[in-house]
Amino acid sequence: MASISQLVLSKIDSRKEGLPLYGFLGDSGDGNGHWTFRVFDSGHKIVGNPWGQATHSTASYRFGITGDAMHSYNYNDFGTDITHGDLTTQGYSSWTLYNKSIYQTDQYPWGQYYSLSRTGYVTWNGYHQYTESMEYQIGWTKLNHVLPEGIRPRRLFCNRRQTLRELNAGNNTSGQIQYYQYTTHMLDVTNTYAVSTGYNEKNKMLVMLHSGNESTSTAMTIHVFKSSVCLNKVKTIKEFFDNLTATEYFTDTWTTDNNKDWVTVVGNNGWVGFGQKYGNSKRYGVFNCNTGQSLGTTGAARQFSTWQDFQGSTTTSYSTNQANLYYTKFNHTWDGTWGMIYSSYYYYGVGLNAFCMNLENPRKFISVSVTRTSRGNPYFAWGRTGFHGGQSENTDGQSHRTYAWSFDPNDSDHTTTTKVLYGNDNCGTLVPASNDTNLATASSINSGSVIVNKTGVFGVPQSRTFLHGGYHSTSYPLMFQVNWWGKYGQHDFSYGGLYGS
Amino acid sequence: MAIKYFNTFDGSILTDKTAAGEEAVRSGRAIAINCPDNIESWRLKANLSTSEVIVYGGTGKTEAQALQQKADEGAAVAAVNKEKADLKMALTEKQEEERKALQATFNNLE
Repeated sequence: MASISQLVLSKIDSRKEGLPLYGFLGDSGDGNGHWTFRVFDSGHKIVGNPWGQATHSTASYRFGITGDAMHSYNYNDFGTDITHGDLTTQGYSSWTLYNKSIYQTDQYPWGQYYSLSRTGYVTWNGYHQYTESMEYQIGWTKLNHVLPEGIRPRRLFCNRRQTLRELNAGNNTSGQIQYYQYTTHMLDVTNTYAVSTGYNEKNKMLVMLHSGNESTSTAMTIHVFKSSVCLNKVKTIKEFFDNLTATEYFTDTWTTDNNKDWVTVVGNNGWVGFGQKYGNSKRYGVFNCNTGQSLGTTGAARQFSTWQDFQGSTTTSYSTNQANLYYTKFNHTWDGTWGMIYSSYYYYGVGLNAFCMNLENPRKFISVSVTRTSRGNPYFAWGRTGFHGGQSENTDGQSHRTYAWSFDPNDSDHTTTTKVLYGNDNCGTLVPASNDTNLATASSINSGSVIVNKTGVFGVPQSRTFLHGGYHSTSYPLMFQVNWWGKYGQHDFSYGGLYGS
Repeated sequence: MAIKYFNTFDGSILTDKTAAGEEAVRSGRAIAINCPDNIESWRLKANLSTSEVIVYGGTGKTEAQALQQKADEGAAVAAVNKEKADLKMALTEKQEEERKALQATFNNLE
């Protein structure tokens, strides 16, 4: 007979985290005299442990404390200054600059170059042989997960050709845990190259996009696998496929730029969004992947409306056409109600060129735009239903700012406009001495907008975090993904979900 | 010349798409400005007080020249930052020398 504690534990998902945290590094111009690393929660309140600085000389303090052999002052491999350089047109081999690239992070709990604990202990991966790493080579094969509130992917599944593999989670080459070739479960094997895969944990739907090759083939077969067991819970991948309750497919011809850029987002309602960076722009389409509705095997019979091009401004920007690690990214909000397919606005990692979609109903989506060309930063899940990041201007003389915006978690009707809430530079206007008169009229909302579904674009304003950069003079703080946000009630007291009597 | 749309909060470019831009204008999120042709979007910004477009590097510069100007300006900022850091380091070293001199004086007194 199970004890009460066992019964309680069985109801708690041990993967669940508190609201998102982010790391924040500020240093002096030479990167040696002063170095401050802090971790903040979604309210920009500090968490983690304080650090002390032992010296203001060339004793390479951070080399000893953080094991940062990549950017140590002496005996360095890749330069001394990690935050003051400005990422503009440079790629990944401009090692220190690329730390600020938008491509550093996505929904997975690590960066391409580093990992960071919630206590503020950051350590960079070695850059030697970086082009052989998981993120560089096959990061684009990772599954895009739609997960419940407070949960990020804790298992790493990669899909290529007709084999789904599980790897040790992280950016390494440490071998597979398991693999399974699912060809016998496919109802059509014309196209044999898996180029994008999405999984939804609520409806246990695994949706794969197979093409004629991994580059520019426009022939597509979309496979839908629905199981009675959860992919994130099974011991073997085979178990997921052995318990399929429905399997369907449809074919289509999709204009593509590079098939490695496809992102698949499986909505709770069975509609699936497919998006990719396309030239300097981006494209998004939504298809009905529900099974058992006799929808047929052509894309035309399943598509919602038409393909939508990104509606924000575009300029020169790059993708997997240049190298695999610049693959189009996916992230979702802490509560799992809104997702974002995104890439950079400018070259290899500055600004934001994104579609944000409701994960209950991916037919509800808008374009989101930040047209920065320098002093950028990555973007992270933020608060309950939002994202933020993207800015690293000099904090000598002004408070740090971030591009932060959030959605209404219940706003899932694609026939109406989408409400976006955001911050600004002044709390006097954020919470003004007037009422918001009508949320359907943008001009009457303070620090909020309503955007036309599908064809509308939202430009994100900056808002002040009122953080200093970590150094008293010129400082361009770098933002980091945190590998574990912690659990509410243990070390984090910011927010733990909707509880109460 | 072509109409482009700029965010009202900071003058950054929002879009060159007419439908999305006009919707943003109607809701007070953007202004429309007639812009010169053949200029990459990243070079365009609105002067919100005059509702005129500012072209980074000027309309006479090519894209390559504008990129070079951006790189040069970045290098200039980096040089100023290095000068500030060097001055700070020099000051630190000077303070260290003064401390050592004071220590020597103190030792001699003993």
